[in-house]
Amino acid sequence: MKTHSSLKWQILKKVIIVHGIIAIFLTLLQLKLNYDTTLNLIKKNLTSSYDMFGPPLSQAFYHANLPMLEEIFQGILSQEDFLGVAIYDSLSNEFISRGKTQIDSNILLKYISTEPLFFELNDKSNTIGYQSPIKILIEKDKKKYFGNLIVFSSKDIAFKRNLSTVYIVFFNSIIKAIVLLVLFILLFNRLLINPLTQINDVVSNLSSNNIKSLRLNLQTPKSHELYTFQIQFNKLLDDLNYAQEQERLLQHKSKCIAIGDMIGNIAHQWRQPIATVNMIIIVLLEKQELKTLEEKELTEKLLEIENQNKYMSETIENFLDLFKQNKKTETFSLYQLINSTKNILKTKLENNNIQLKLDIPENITMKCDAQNLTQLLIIIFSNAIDSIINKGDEYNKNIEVSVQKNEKTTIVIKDYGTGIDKENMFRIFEPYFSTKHESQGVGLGLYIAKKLIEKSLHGHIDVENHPNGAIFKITI
Amino acid sequence: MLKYCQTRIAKLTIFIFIFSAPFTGINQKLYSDEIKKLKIAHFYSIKEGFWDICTTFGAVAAPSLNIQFDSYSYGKSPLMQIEFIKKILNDPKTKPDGFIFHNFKMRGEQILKIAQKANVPAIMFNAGPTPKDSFGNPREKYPLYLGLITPNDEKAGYDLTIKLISKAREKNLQGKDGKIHICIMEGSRYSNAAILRKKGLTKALKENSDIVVDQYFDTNWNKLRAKDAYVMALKRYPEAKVFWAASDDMAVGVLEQAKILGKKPNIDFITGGIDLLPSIQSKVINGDIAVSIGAHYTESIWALILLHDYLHGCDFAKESQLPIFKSTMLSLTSKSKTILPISSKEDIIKWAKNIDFSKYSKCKSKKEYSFDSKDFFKNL
Repeated sequence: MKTHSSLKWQILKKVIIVHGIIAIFLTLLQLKLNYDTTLNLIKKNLTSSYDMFGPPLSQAFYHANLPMLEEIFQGILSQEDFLGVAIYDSLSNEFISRGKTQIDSNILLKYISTEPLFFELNDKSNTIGYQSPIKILIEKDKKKYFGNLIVFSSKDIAFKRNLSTVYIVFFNSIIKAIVLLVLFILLFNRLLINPLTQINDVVSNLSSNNIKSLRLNLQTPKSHELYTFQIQFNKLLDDLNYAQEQERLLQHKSKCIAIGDMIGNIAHQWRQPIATVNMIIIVLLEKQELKTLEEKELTEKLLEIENQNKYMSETIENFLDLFKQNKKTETFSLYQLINSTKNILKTKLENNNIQLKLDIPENITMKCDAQNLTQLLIIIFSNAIDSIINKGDEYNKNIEVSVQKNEKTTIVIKDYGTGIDKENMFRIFEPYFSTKHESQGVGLGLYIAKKLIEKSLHGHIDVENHPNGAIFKITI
Repeated sequence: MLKYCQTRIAKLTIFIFIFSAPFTGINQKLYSDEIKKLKIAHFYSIKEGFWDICTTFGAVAAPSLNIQFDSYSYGKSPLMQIEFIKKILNDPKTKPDGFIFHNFKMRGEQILKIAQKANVPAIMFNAGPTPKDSFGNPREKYPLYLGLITPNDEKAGYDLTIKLISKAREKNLQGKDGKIHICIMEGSRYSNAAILRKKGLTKALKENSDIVVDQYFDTNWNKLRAKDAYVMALKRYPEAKVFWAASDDMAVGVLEQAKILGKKPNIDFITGGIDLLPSIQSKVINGDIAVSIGAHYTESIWALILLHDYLHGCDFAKESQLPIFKSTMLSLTSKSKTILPISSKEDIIKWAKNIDFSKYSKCKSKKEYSFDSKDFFKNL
């Protein structure tokens, strides 16, 4: 949730910055547009000045009606945007100017034309002007050009007018930006954050065993990209659930196999003492029948039976320890652990004349789940035994165990078996992969070993060949 | 039998005479010196220039006609004019027996409507209907519109132009192109007097091909406007030396402005106008003003006489003619041998003391009306 909030705030922070920039940009843009609009309005007012004042002014001017002329001048100058007005009399070549803006007649003469003309003076005052010719009706249908009306304004008016509205425009932009931001947040939450939160909840529950109950339900329209994601994700959940089921099944199978192996090993361990006890019983029964059984011999034989019984009981105990449920991390002597494991496999080793040689200092200790390590070692040793048996080399039936102690502890198990084919080297830890005969295994041993080392012991297992067999390295 | 018949005819005549009298006019009464004073109003725009003189003439003529002459100036506003006249005609204290007026800014018809409604007869004088007016002739659409007296403005405009051109030629005031350049100071475009004077001007110009009109200035009878126009004309048309003015007042404006600018009459320019106001006489005589045509301000006296006669039962209208009269105008130049006996308002009052205007009344003298100013100015 925190990750999402962080993401949310990061995006929001950036959105706010972007909105701020957009607000400033919009303000500037709006001001520019307002300025252009105002300037155009001023220009329009200037250009329409003749329509408004031209006819009476031309009459007043032509007929030298100076009081009316002054009134019209006042009328023109009372217009908000007009800073000055001038009249050019082409007959007398004279200018009459009124208002704040008074332009030198020599400059004005440059712009005098018989056609209407808008002009800008290239001076600091930013003066803009519009001149239009004045024509007077002399006779019916006969107009005579006799002068020009020139009205002045300034670009500064447009600038100042807009400057006074800058706060309003900026405030307006900010309000718009805030409204957009709120809408964005709402949409962002609805369309992205809420689905992401839901996805996060589902993903964070993926580690639990109950994938089957997990389902993404984003309630988004079918056209939404997240809907496609939801379908794919739910499909993935289905696949994961299936894989988890398979894994569970595999583990169950592995357990069964381990139990089978254990029973096999127990059977191996018990075969000899049972046979010994049987022999003792047969000998004792025959001697009793012949009445040659002495009390002392009976006692000896019963003690031997007891010993065999005790051995069998220990064997059971050892195996039970191996499959106890209360597994925990503990510090132990590595030598003792490997030696105990060797004892478990003692019968199998002895029956096949295989030597398991330990080259381990007795003082080395390790801290991990000892039972899982024992189970792991049994798998590796059993495979090594099987490999040596398969090879059938009567002269070299050894398994050598050594330890390399650095920051981590590496147990090196070197066998003189068949080794591993190069093409199978990367597949031997896959489930159901086996190079043995079906009667010898189902191909789950090394898969279980890999799971044990990675999940329970938090280490890793490597394998390589040497000229006469294989080397397994368990690093914890 | 004859005696009986004579007696019966005499009785019938007396009966008809006595009983027919009230039906000859609204307030028409048998003329008699003993009849009470008539109350006549004169409505005009501004008491200055022409109208000041005009109403003064009316005022000095009124006593000898046994008339109470009420002179009303309503100002420049045509709207005020209507409201003002309506108020005077409808107030019993001020309501006159008749009134005289001129068609100021084409409001004649509205005034006639008011007169008709108030039952007051009226005579229009000096400024008659323009071609755009539609109130018709006297006694037609408005029966109480008794008559119309106007000067021959067209002839005045024509005469003024001819005399100015003649003077310009005499003084060699032609331009570089050898032609006489003239600027026109017009009267109001809504005044029939101005329209007719311009018509006379145009007629004279057509007869003289060496005349160039540089500009018609719409100066609206206004002296100050004429002054401004002269300044403008001087800048625009340096060749223009002749300034035709539709009124004396504007001609005086041109003269005054020209003098301010250092221009000399008869050398740098000449000007002349219409009205022949008493005050202008000296300027004409000394040559500052080339010519003045007018003295038609005496029309106020003729209008009073007509109204006086009508109200006393002597209707001036003849069956075969419309009651529309033309007054004659006098012309004065520096070369004129005779001059008017008046040069100011005071002169008018002094001059009028010795004149019995009732002798111009048809009721009293039985003579026809001449409508000529010369009749009043004995020494002309």
